[in-house]
Amino acid sequence: MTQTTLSHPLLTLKATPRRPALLSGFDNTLDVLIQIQAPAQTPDGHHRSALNLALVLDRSGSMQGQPLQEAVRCARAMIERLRAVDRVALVVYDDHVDTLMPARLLDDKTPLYRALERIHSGGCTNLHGGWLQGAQTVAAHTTPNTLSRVLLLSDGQANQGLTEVDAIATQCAELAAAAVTTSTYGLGHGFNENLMTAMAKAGHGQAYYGETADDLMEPFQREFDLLDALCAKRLRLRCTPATGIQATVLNLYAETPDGSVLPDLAYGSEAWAVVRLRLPATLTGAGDGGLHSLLDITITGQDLTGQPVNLAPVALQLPSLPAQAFHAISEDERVARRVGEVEAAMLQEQAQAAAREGDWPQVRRLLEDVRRRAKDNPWLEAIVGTLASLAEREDTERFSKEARYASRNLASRVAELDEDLDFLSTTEGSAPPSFLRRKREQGKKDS
Amino acid sequence: MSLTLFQNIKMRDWCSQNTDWQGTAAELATLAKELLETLSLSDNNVVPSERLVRNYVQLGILGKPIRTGKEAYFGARQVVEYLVARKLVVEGWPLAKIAEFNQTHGLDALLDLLPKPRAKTPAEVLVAKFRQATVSAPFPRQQTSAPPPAISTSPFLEQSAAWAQRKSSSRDLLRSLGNPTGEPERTALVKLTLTPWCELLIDPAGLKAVPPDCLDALGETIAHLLREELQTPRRRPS
Repeated sequence: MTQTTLSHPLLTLKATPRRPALLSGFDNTLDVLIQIQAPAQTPDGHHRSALNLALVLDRSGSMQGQPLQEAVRCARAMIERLRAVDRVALVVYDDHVDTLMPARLLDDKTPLYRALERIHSGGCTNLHGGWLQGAQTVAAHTTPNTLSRVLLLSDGQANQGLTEVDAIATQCAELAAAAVTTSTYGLGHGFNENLMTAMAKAGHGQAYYGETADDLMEPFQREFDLLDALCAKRLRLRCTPATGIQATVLNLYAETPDGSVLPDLAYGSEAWAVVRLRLPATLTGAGDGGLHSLLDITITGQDLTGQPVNLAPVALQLPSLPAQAFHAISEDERVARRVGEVEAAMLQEQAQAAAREGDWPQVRRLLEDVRRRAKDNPWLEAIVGTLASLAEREDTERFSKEARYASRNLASRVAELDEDLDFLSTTEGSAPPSFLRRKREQGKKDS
Repeated sequence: MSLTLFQNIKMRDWCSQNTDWQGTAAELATLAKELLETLSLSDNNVVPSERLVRNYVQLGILGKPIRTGKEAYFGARQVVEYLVARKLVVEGWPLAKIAEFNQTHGLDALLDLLPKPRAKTPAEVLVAKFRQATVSAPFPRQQTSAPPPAISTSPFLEQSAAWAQRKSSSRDLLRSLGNPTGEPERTALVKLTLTPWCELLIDPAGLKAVPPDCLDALGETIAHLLREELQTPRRRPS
């Protein structure tokens, strides 16, 4: 049952507790689902923001042949979707970094297509250098009403230039604060998923991967479908608990001084977060039904023109009930499901780390824990099935990547409004857009 | 003038405020360096210099300076001509075409080509900071693809687009052979054939810089070197 709602022309904020009451006289752990919802329909005459993009393609020796051809094909498909008001730069890197095309408006796409045809594979992988050059091409053209982003593709490990994950991620975060975000695309089994997901998380962008070159097109299309449907960006969630109460956002969102970084929001979707509150018994009231203030929720963001969107703070209050009355109230199914998903995401992160250390017994224990949370959640059940079969084969690279990207997808995705429990069910004409589809296997295109 | 004074000045404004500006080749070079940075037209490989200014005069890219006594003074128009020339060179225009453009277009047309100065975005400041901090992040190689298309402000410029593309690949080759700018440097020389076996190649601009009382000493030095050659066994070429 939704407890608190606040509406704005562009956004609707809902705060729904798992159970809408406090259990008097006991320490309480209470989960609250916060949903920031966009309008269901894209308005007539809607135009997406002008884009200011840098395509940064890995052309190291391992990309030779089909991987590079596919990367070029994906880049070409992306360019085809861009408009004359969009700006694109093309950067390629191996152990050297080359700007094949500086940032230019796309009134004529021919030079860009020609530049793509000239890409050839080369040496080692200066991933940071490629990313930085892409950021430089984009940086000069940032404006409040454009979306500026570096799209970085790699099939390998960063082995030249700056290679430390934390250092690179820190730079991504700083640039994201200066309005240049980063999305990453991993290809194959050899890329560094820790680095690529860290860059996307810190860079406030999307992280995708494709197991094979054939699987690469879908992530590019998802990113573009999302960009086409955007309605709000730079969303931040700040939760201020009442004195004595501890509040923790369980999702895997980046944290900034302005709050948790929520995904950019598209029409027909919602960004969401699960906040776990811990209250000592002394703050749970007398069980007389009196309301207690628990949490102030603040959402800030921008519309597509860069104008601020500030919702007034929403206060979450719950009644204090005695035990019998408390337990008579059922839990909200949607909240319970999302809690299960974010908890599963955290367990999968641990499983990924265990797999990297070769501790397969621990991996299997953690997956069992995830499976318990997948009860009544077909999507989570399907994800666990995929991971379990990889764990059986003790395939470190594939398991590590699937676990990492699945956890990210579970805990930091935009969701469909009124998302159906059964992720496989579709009625005619109601298939969600690509960026809202829940996948069984993160590195494979939808079958 | 310090760079910061130019930060928010458009070149049109600078021209109208400095119609009486006069400077030597060295002073023009110094001024151009600052203005190029303000306009984000700086090229690390080509720093404005007195020699380059003189070269541009010889090529007709800059109008001739006005001589007053021993000095030659340039004006505001030539400052603009220099800035336009650097912009067009970076975009791949041949020097001869740039000279033709500068000679046949008025000051307004030249100013139209120059970008308006702007402050760096926060993202640009960050990227510069990251580059400085990351010693091992190499500066990217020069662009190996064709340059951006020509400025289509007139049919004259559009017709040279194909030539610019061919020029770009020549520039890359020269860089790979050790020429940092990729541009052939043209210097007009005077050849004095003293005898069938003795020629002097003289850079007229350099000759003008030699004090007259040094010419005698230069002649004695040449004579000394010739005597030395006579007395020294022939060396194999190195």
